[in-house]
Amino acid sequence: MGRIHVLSDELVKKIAAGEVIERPASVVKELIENALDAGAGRISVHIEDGGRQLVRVTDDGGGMAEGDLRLAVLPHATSKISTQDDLFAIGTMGFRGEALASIGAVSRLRIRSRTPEATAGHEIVVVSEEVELAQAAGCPVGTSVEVRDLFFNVPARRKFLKGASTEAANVNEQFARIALAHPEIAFDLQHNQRVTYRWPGNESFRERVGRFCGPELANELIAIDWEERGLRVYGYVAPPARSRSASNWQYVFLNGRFIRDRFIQHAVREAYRGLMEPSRHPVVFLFLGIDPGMVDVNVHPTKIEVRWQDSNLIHSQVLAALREKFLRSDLTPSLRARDPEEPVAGGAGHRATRPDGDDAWPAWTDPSDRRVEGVGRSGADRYRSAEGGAGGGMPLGRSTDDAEFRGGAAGGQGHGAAELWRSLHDASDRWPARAGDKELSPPPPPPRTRALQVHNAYLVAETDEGILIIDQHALHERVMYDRLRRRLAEGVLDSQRLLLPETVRVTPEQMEVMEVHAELLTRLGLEITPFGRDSIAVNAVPAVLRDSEVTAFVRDVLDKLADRGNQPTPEVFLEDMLSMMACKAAVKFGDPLTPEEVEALVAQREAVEKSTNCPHGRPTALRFTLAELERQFKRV
Amino acid sequence: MKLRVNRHELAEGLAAVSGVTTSRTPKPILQCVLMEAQGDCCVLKATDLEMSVSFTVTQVEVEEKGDILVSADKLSQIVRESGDETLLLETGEGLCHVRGQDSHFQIYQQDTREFPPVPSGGGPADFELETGELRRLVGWTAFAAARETSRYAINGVLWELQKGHLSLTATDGRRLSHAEGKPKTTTDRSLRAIIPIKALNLFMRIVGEAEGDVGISVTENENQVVLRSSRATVTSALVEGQFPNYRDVIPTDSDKQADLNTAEFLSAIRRAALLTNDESRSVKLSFQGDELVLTGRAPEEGEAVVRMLAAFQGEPLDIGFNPVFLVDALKVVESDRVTLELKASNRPGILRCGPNMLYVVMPLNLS
Repeated sequence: MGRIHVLSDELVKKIAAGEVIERPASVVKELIENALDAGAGRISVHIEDGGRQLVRVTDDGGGMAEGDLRLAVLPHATSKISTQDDLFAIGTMGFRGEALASIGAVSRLRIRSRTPEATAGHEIVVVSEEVELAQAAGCPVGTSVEVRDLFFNVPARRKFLKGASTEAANVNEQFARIALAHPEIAFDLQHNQRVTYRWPGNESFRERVGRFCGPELANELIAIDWEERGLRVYGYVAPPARSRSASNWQYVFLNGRFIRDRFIQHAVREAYRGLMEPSRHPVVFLFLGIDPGMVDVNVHPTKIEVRWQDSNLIHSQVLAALREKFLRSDLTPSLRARDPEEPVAGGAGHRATRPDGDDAWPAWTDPSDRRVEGVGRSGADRYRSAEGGAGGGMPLGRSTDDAEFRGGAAGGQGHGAAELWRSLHDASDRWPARAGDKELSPPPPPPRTRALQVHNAYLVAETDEGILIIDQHALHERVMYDRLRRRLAEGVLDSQRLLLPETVRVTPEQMEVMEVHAELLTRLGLEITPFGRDSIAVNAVPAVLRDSEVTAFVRDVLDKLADRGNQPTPEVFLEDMLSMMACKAAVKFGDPLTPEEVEALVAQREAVEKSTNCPHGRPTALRFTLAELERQFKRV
Repeated sequence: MKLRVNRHELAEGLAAVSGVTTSRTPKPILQCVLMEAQGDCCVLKATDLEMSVSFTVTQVEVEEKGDILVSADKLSQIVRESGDETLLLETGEGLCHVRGQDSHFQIYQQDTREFPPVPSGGGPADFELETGELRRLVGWTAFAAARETSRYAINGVLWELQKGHLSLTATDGRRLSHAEGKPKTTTDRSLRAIIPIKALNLFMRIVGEAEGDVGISVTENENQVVLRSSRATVTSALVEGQFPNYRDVIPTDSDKQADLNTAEFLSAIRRAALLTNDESRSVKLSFQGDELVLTGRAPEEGEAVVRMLAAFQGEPLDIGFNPVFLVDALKVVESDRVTLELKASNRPGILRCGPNMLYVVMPLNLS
């Protein structure tokens, strides 16, 4: 007897259902999307036992007449598209006509619906695809879909459902992914009769995002709005200091639908690169508006992945939108010293046993950035954990929009002349001054930033808004890094030829990569030639390196290239090497600086992109605002 | 011990030896100066174990011979602050008494027997130089020596004496300076020694112009050099290790040559260098016909262009140099004119100042 046989119709349907319906959260997603497509102004979701027992989605949309109701539960029945052309210009959430049929195949499904014109509604009950009941029923205009006992007839799947709290968390996430994109619609979510979220309609994106992430983070969000080449990128991103340790705080919506896309993820990472530590993940809420013809969303049953016609365009536009904003924003983390009266949260970052006065000044007593970040993060977390029970957050006034460019950078342009003057000043210090120099009348000096070096490590500078505490090494490293990077973008780095070539012993692997990557090495200013079987001769080195660092630098470069487990792309490799060179060339933590050097360094801060973080992502400066100082000294 | 000494003379002597006493040492005795009162003079000695200095103070009336060992720092301060013409120094009961007209200081003495032996450097010198010649030779070379240790022994100046001919060479791997001179008197010995920069600098600092000739001797078995003038003696361990074979790196195939006014060239480089910065510190020299154009460029700051006359022979050439390297050498040039010999933009240049002084400098690759 043959071992291959055609599957029964029922089995096929269950398999197909499994692609769309994996868990209660998928039911919630499909049903909310249907409600949106029905033109609802309010959507309520109610789940019980994490959705394992019940998922009910009620909307006030257009509803369905009796005949439609019967058709709706058949596979590939939809009102959303009818011709093949529609498939390539999809403006509705669902379109494959799978949702209700799939759900009906694996649960006890009850739908009640009434159109605005009808005097009464209709009800249909489907169990394992069999219509068990169809009758008139009293109900409000709109549709209510009830899904009970999901997978009751597919034990293999039911077995794989997680506990109620995990499934509920998945539902929350799905709910948020849709509700965030539709602030005009009122949403609420209840679990076991308790409200998880209750968001009113007619909100702005900012308000909706603010409800979701809490007022503390909401106040710091940076607005993005960018439109070029048929693509609009808008939304809100959190400053780098608000980064998270996991990537699930990245909400990207394409034409109102949540997607996960590696091109966009990469662009976001790229935009934040150097602004935060590499192991952290930025928080973003990005909305992409694009002509539906430029993207294929029919790639995956859950539509979470899409295929771009021009993925480079998407990548470059997202990157440009964020970068442009970051360059214009001041990203220096503001220190909010905690009020002595404020109860100390039990977060790991706080040592509650410390005297209040001490604890209130985290930056002075412990300059590590993690700690400062901890202050912000634990605040946000506190809010989020409270959110579950509280039901919605405080409404956020529109006035918060004004705060988003708080202390916005004045722009680099005005500083060009000042920079030039300073560099003249610097360079003439290096050599004995000539009499002629005195005749040069410098342009009027820029508003003076008064700064003081403390402990040969930090610079304390006066600013218009308060004081800035700068890590001298981190800032100088950043300054050097940016200059080197610009230099590299123009071609190759300055390279000093050596009179006496340095010889370095290398492994066969290193010897090989050296030859393969000769061009990269040249761009860095290294000229290396084989010297015998196991050595190389270094004939030229980046001019910026100190003598004593040459051998170590060459070794690091070759190690990096020979590391087969972790082959960097040329761009990443060059960035890494620039970071390393900048670090070696910068003033060290602990180097005494002259007052002129202090002044010059602080002035350069203004001219440098991303000067708020060193290339490794540590912050270069912390800020105390006058308002904060006044608060601490009880002047207000 | 008891002596009366001219205060200015003593202050000068203490300043000379204090270059060796280090304040940061775990051995307090190394912070001390040893005063030995002999016949009609007093010799001050200090050491840091690698290097020792002794300096003879004249204008002394010795009433009673003997030694004192006291903190160099304290004694210097007392002598410097005093307003007296002469001071009386005397030992007694473990104390050193310093008496002026209106003052009396008592400083605790250290035990002179614990002071490390300072090499006397006695015996005839291997060769002698005029002070002026010494200044010329060391001035042209010492700046090019490496400040940091490397695989070569280049943190010192190589002295070579052969058949009555003396040459000094120093390099830091990027540039090399070389000067040749003639000793006033010499033995038949051939010598080759790397003298540490620190010892040379100290000796140059304390040798007075008027001192006439200086004697230099190298004791090879002890690996030591003695630099001696009429008043001061510096002894130091030599730098051990191999000095690179510098003759190989002095180019012999340069086919282009520029004859330049020293002061103009120095000024032009300094001005062009005003618009360079830490990451792009190259000044481009463009030679064409009788003109040299120097260009400095700091990417986000601006650009400098300086022109000067240059008697140039050869095909036009652009070459980049670290301006600091050129300025270092031009600063110590005493003649009015220098010549710069070149071959190609990726080959070393040679700056010559007369027949006996040359400076090889490696270019920067122009991007």
